[in-house]
Amino acid sequence: MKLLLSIVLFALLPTSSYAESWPKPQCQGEPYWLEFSTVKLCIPKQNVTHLNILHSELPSFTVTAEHGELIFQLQTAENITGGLHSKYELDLASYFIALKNKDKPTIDYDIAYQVHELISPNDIGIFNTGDWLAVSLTNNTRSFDELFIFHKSSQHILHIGGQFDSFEAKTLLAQFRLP
Amino acid sequence: MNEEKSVKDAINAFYKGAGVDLKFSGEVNPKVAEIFGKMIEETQQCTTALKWVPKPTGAKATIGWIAKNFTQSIISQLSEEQSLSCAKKVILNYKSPMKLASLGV
Repeated sequence: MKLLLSIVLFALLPTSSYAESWPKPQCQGEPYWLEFSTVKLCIPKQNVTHLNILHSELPSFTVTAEHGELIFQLQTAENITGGLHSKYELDLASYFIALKNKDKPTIDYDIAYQVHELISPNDIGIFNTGDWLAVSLTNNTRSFDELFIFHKSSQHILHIGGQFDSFEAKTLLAQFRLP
Repeated sequence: MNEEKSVKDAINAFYKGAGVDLKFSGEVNPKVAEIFGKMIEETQQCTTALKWVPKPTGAKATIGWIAKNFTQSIISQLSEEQSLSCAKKVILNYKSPMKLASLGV
Protein backbone atom coordinates (compact mmCIF):
# COMPACT_ATOMS: atom_id res chain seq x y z
CA MET A 1 0.00 0.00 0.00
CA LYS A 2 2.81 2.42 0.97
CA LEU A 3 4.70 1.51 -2.24
CA LEU A 4 1.57 2.12 -4.36
CA LEU A 5 1.05 5.52 -2.71
CA SER A 6 4.68 6.51 -3.40
CA ILE A 7 4.31 5.57 -7.06
CA VAL A 8 1.10 7.61 -7.38
CA LEU A 9 2.67 10.63 -5.67
CA PHE A 10 5.78 10.40 -7.88
CA ALA A 11 3.61 10.28 -10.99
CA LEU A 12 1.89 13.48 -9.89
CA LEU A 13 5.20 15.40 -9.59
CA PRO A 14 5.93 17.88 -12.42
CA THR A 15 7.77 15.98 -15.16
CA SER A 16 9.63 19.07 -16.31
CA SER A 17 10.68 22.17 -14.44
CA TYR A 18 11.98 23.97 -17.53
CA ALA A 19 9.56 26.89 -17.36
CA GLU A 20 9.53 29.56 -14.71
CA SER A 21 6.38 31.45 -13.82
CA TRP A 22 5.72 34.51 -15.93
CA PRO A 23 6.89 37.52 -13.90
CA LYS A 24 4.15 39.53 -12.20
CA PRO A 25 3.53 42.99 -13.74
CA GLN A 26 6.02 45.64 -12.60
CA CYS A 27 4.81 49.02 -13.82
CA GLN A 28 5.12 51.17 -10.68
CA GLY A 29 2.08 53.18 -11.68
CA GLU A 30 3.27 53.70 -15.26
CA PRO A 31 0.54 53.14 -17.87
CA TYR A 32 1.03 50.76 -20.79
CA TRP A 33 1.94 53.64 -23.07
CA LEU A 34 4.06 51.90 -25.68
CA GLU A 35 2.34 49.55 -28.09
CA PHE A 36 4.13 47.26 -30.46
CA SER A 37 2.27 44.77 -32.60
CA THR A 38 -0.18 43.07 -30.23
CA VAL A 39 1.64 43.80 -26.95
CA LYS A 40 1.87 46.85 -24.70
CA LEU A 41 4.71 48.01 -22.49
CA CYS A 42 4.99 50.14 -19.37
CA ILE A 43 8.72 50.99 -19.62
CA PRO A 44 9.22 54.04 -17.32
CA LYS A 45 8.81 57.05 -19.63
CA GLN A 46 11.10 59.32 -17.65
CA ASN A 47 14.03 56.96 -18.32
CA VAL A 48 13.54 56.99 -22.09
CA THR A 49 15.96 59.40 -23.79
CA HIS A 50 15.58 58.30 -27.39
CA LEU A 51 13.08 56.42 -29.54
CA ASN A 52 14.07 55.45 -33.07
CA ILE A 53 11.51 53.98 -35.47
CA LEU A 54 13.43 51.99 -38.07
CA HIS A 55 12.42 51.45 -41.65
CA SER A 56 12.59 47.73 -42.26
CA GLU A 57 10.60 44.93 -43.82
CA LEU A 58 9.23 43.85 -40.45
CA PRO A 59 8.39 46.47 -37.81
CA SER A 60 11.24 47.50 -35.54
CA PHE A 61 12.38 50.32 -33.29
CA THR A 62 14.99 51.06 -30.66
CA VAL A 63 14.50 52.57 -27.23
CA THR A 64 17.34 54.13 -25.28
CA ALA A 65 16.74 54.09 -21.55
CA GLU A 66 18.72 53.58 -18.35
CA HIS A 67 20.13 50.21 -19.41
CA GLY A 68 21.24 51.43 -22.82
CA GLU A 69 19.69 50.81 -26.21
CA LEU A 70 17.14 48.05 -26.63
CA ILE A 71 16.17 46.86 -30.10
CA PHE A 72 12.59 45.68 -30.57
CA GLN A 73 11.65 43.86 -33.74
CA LEU A 74 9.24 41.34 -35.13
CA GLN A 75 11.30 38.40 -36.20
CA THR A 76 10.94 35.08 -37.95
CA ALA A 77 11.80 31.77 -36.35
CA GLU A 78 14.09 31.11 -39.32
CA ASN A 79 16.30 34.09 -38.49
CA ILE A 80 16.27 33.40 -34.76
CA THR A 81 17.59 29.84 -35.09
CA GLY A 82 19.21 30.04 -38.51
CA GLY A 83 16.83 27.24 -39.46
CA LEU A 84 18.18 24.83 -36.86
CA HIS A 85 14.75 24.27 -35.30
CA SER A 86 13.38 23.13 -38.69
CA LYS A 87 16.39 20.90 -39.25
CA TYR A 88 15.57 19.10 -36.01
CA GLU A 89 11.83 19.10 -36.82
CA LEU A 90 10.97 21.11 -33.74
CA ASP A 91 8.77 24.13 -33.27
CA LEU A 92 10.46 27.15 -31.72
CA ALA A 93 9.24 26.46 -28.18
CA SER A 94 10.35 22.82 -28.23
CA TYR A 95 13.70 23.86 -29.73
CA PHE A 96 14.59 26.22 -26.90
CA ILE A 97 13.30 23.79 -24.28
CA ALA A 98 15.58 21.16 -25.81
CA LEU A 99 18.54 23.57 -25.66
CA LYS A 100 17.79 24.15 -21.99
CA ASN A 101 17.30 20.50 -21.05
CA LYS A 102 19.88 19.04 -23.47
CA ASP A 103 17.71 15.97 -23.70
CA LYS A 104 17.48 15.34 -27.45
CA PRO A 105 20.33 13.16 -28.77
CA THR A 106 19.70 14.25 -32.40
CA ILE A 107 20.69 17.86 -31.68
CA ASP A 108 24.32 18.93 -32.12
CA TYR A 109 24.45 21.06 -28.98
CA ASP A 110 27.97 22.27 -29.71
CA ILE A 111 26.79 23.93 -32.90
CA ALA A 112 23.50 25.18 -31.45
CA TYR A 113 25.26 26.69 -28.45
CA GLN A 114 27.77 28.44 -30.71
CA VAL A 115 24.98 29.82 -32.89
CA HIS A 116 23.16 31.25 -29.88
CA GLU A 117 26.32 32.40 -28.01
CA LEU A 118 25.47 30.14 -25.09
CA ILE A 119 27.94 28.83 -22.54
CA SER A 120 25.62 26.79 -20.32
CA PRO A 121 21.91 25.89 -20.00
CA ASN A 122 21.83 28.43 -17.15
CA ASP A 123 22.10 31.14 -19.80
CA ILE A 124 18.59 30.18 -20.95
CA GLY A 125 15.48 31.38 -19.10
CA ILE A 126 12.09 30.04 -20.16
CA PHE A 127 8.78 31.53 -19.01
CA ASN A 128 5.31 30.32 -19.78
CA THR A 129 1.78 31.65 -19.38
CA GLY A 130 -1.08 30.00 -21.21
CA ASP A 131 -0.09 29.72 -24.87
CA TRP A 132 2.68 32.32 -24.56
CA LEU A 133 6.34 31.55 -24.12
CA ALA A 134 9.26 33.83 -23.42
CA VAL A 135 12.90 32.83 -23.76
CA SER A 136 15.81 34.86 -22.43
CA LEU A 137 19.41 34.27 -23.52
CA THR A 138 21.88 36.10 -21.30
CA ASN A 139 25.51 35.93 -20.22
CA ASN A 140 28.34 38.43 -20.00
CA THR A 141 30.16 37.40 -23.18
CA ARG A 142 27.33 37.79 -25.71
CA SER A 143 27.19 40.41 -28.46
CA PHE A 144 23.51 40.90 -27.61
CA ASP A 145 21.48 39.55 -24.75
CA GLU A 146 18.13 38.49 -26.15
CA LEU A 147 14.52 38.03 -25.17
CA PHE A 148 11.98 36.28 -27.40
CA ILE A 149 8.26 36.49 -26.72
CA PHE A 150 5.80 34.53 -28.81
CA HIS A 151 2.42 32.90 -28.95
CA LYS A 152 2.72 29.21 -29.80
CA SER A 153 0.54 29.58 -32.91
CA SER A 154 2.10 32.78 -34.26
CA GLN A 155 4.53 33.04 -37.17
CA HIS A 156 6.15 36.17 -35.81
CA ILE A 157 8.17 36.51 -32.68
CA LEU A 158 8.83 39.64 -30.67
CA HIS A 159 12.62 39.85 -30.44
CA ILE A 160 14.37 42.20 -28.04
CA GLY A 161 18.14 42.66 -28.11
CA GLY A 162 20.46 44.70 -25.89
CA GLN A 163 22.70 44.39 -22.87
CA PHE A 164 20.92 42.94 -19.85
CA ASP A 165 21.30 40.13 -17.36
CA SER A 166 18.76 37.43 -16.46
CA PHE A 167 17.24 39.53 -13.67
CA GLU A 168 16.84 42.55 -15.96
CA ALA A 169 15.31 40.27 -18.61
CA LYS A 170 12.62 39.25 -16.10
CA THR A 171 12.06 42.90 -15.16
CA LEU A 172 11.62 43.76 -18.83
CA LEU A 173 9.22 40.85 -19.31
CA ALA A 174 7.22 42.09 -16.33
CA GLN A 175 6.67 45.37 -18.21
CA PHE A 176 4.81 43.65 -21.04
CA ARG A 177 1.07 43.19 -21.23
CA LEU A 178 0.00 40.40 -23.54
CA PRO A 179 -3.27 40.46 -25.51
CA MET B 1 44.54 41.17 -50.74
CA ASN B 2 43.17 37.69 -50.46
CA GLU B 3 39.42 37.74 -51.18
CA GLU B 4 38.48 35.73 -48.10
CA LYS B 5 40.41 38.11 -45.87
CA SER B 6 38.64 41.02 -47.58
CA VAL B 7 35.28 39.51 -46.69
CA LYS B 8 36.29 38.90 -43.06
CA ASP B 9 37.61 42.45 -42.80
CA ALA B 10 34.42 43.87 -44.34
CA ILE B 11 32.15 41.97 -41.95
CA ASN B 12 34.24 42.90 -38.92
CA ALA B 13 34.37 46.55 -40.04
CA PHE B 14 30.58 46.52 -40.30
CA TYR B 15 30.26 45.11 -36.78
CA LYS B 16 32.75 47.65 -35.43
CA GLY B 17 31.09 50.51 -37.28
CA ALA B 18 27.78 49.59 -35.66
CA GLY B 19 29.39 49.45 -32.21
CA VAL B 20 28.64 45.74 -31.80
CA ASP B 21 31.10 43.61 -29.85
CA LEU B 22 31.12 40.73 -32.30
CA LYS B 23 33.93 39.21 -34.35
CA PHE B 24 33.46 37.09 -37.45
CA SER B 25 35.26 33.78 -37.17
CA GLY B 26 35.02 30.58 -39.15
CA GLU B 27 34.97 30.01 -42.86
CA VAL B 28 34.15 32.50 -45.58
CA ASN B 29 31.93 30.73 -48.10
CA PRO B 30 29.20 31.63 -50.62
CA LYS B 31 26.51 31.44 -47.92
CA VAL B 32 28.39 33.89 -45.69
CA ALA B 33 28.74 36.27 -48.64
CA GLU B 34 25.05 35.94 -49.47
CA ILE B 35 24.02 36.72 -45.91
CA PHE B 36 26.36 39.71 -45.67
CA GLY B 37 24.87 40.98 -48.91
CA LYS B 38 21.38 40.75 -47.38
CA MET B 39 22.64 42.59 -44.31
CA ILE B 40 23.98 45.45 -46.44
CA GLU B 41 20.75 45.60 -48.41
CA GLU B 42 18.65 45.69 -45.25
CA THR B 43 20.90 48.35 -43.71
CA GLN B 44 20.46 50.50 -46.81
CA GLN B 45 16.70 50.46 -46.14
CA CYS B 46 17.06 52.24 -42.82
CA THR B 47 20.15 54.43 -43.24
CA THR B 48 21.94 56.38 -45.98
CA ALA B 49 25.35 55.46 -44.53
CA LEU B 50 25.98 52.68 -47.04
CA LYS B 51 24.37 54.33 -50.07
CA TRP B 52 27.70 54.09 -51.95
CA VAL B 53 27.52 50.28 -52.05
CA PRO B 54 26.01 49.16 -55.38
CA LYS B 55 23.59 46.26 -55.60
CA PRO B 56 25.23 42.95 -56.52
CA THR B 57 24.60 41.77 -60.08
CA GLY B 58 22.33 38.80 -59.93
CA ALA B 59 20.26 38.05 -56.86
CA LYS B 60 23.02 37.20 -54.38
CA ALA B 61 26.18 38.85 -53.10
CA THR B 62 29.32 36.81 -53.74
CA ILE B 63 32.77 36.70 -52.16
CA GLY B 64 34.13 38.51 -55.22
CA TRP B 65 31.48 41.23 -55.02
CA ILE B 66 32.27 41.93 -51.37
CA ALA B 67 36.02 41.93 -52.04
CA LYS B 68 35.53 44.39 -54.90
CA ASN B 69 33.10 46.76 -53.20
CA PHE B 70 34.64 46.86 -49.74
CA THR B 71 38.19 47.99 -50.42
CA GLN B 72 40.64 48.76 -47.63
CA SER B 73 39.98 52.52 -47.75
CA ILE B 74 36.22 52.02 -47.64
CA ILE B 75 36.56 49.48 -44.85
CA SER B 76 38.55 52.06 -42.84
CA GLN B 77 35.82 54.65 -43.48
CA LEU B 78 33.13 52.25 -42.34
CA SER B 79 35.05 51.54 -39.15
CA GLU B 80 34.96 55.23 -38.35
CA GLU B 81 31.21 55.56 -38.84
CA GLN B 82 29.14 56.30 -35.79
CA SER B 83 27.25 53.45 -34.24
CA LEU B 84 24.07 52.97 -36.21
CA SER B 85 20.88 51.70 -34.60
CA CYS B 86 19.84 50.44 -37.98
CA ALA B 87 23.03 48.43 -38.54
CA LYS B 88 22.82 47.05 -34.98
CA LYS B 89 19.32 45.84 -35.67
CA VAL B 90 20.44 44.15 -38.87
CA ILE B 91 23.35 42.45 -37.11
CA LEU B 92 20.96 41.19 -34.43
CA ASN B 93 18.61 40.01 -37.17
CA TYR B 94 21.21 37.92 -39.00
CA LYS B 95 23.40 36.88 -36.08
CA SER B 96 22.27 33.25 -36.05
CA PRO B 97 22.18 32.63 -39.83
CA MET B 98 25.63 34.23 -40.19
CA LYS B 99 27.13 32.12 -37.40
CA LEU B 100 25.63 28.95 -38.83
CA ALA B 101 26.95 29.78 -42.29
CA SER B 102 30.44 30.46 -40.90
CA LEU B 103 30.40 26.99 -39.33
CA GLY B 104 29.81 25.53 -42.74
CA VAL B 105 26.43 24.11 -41.68
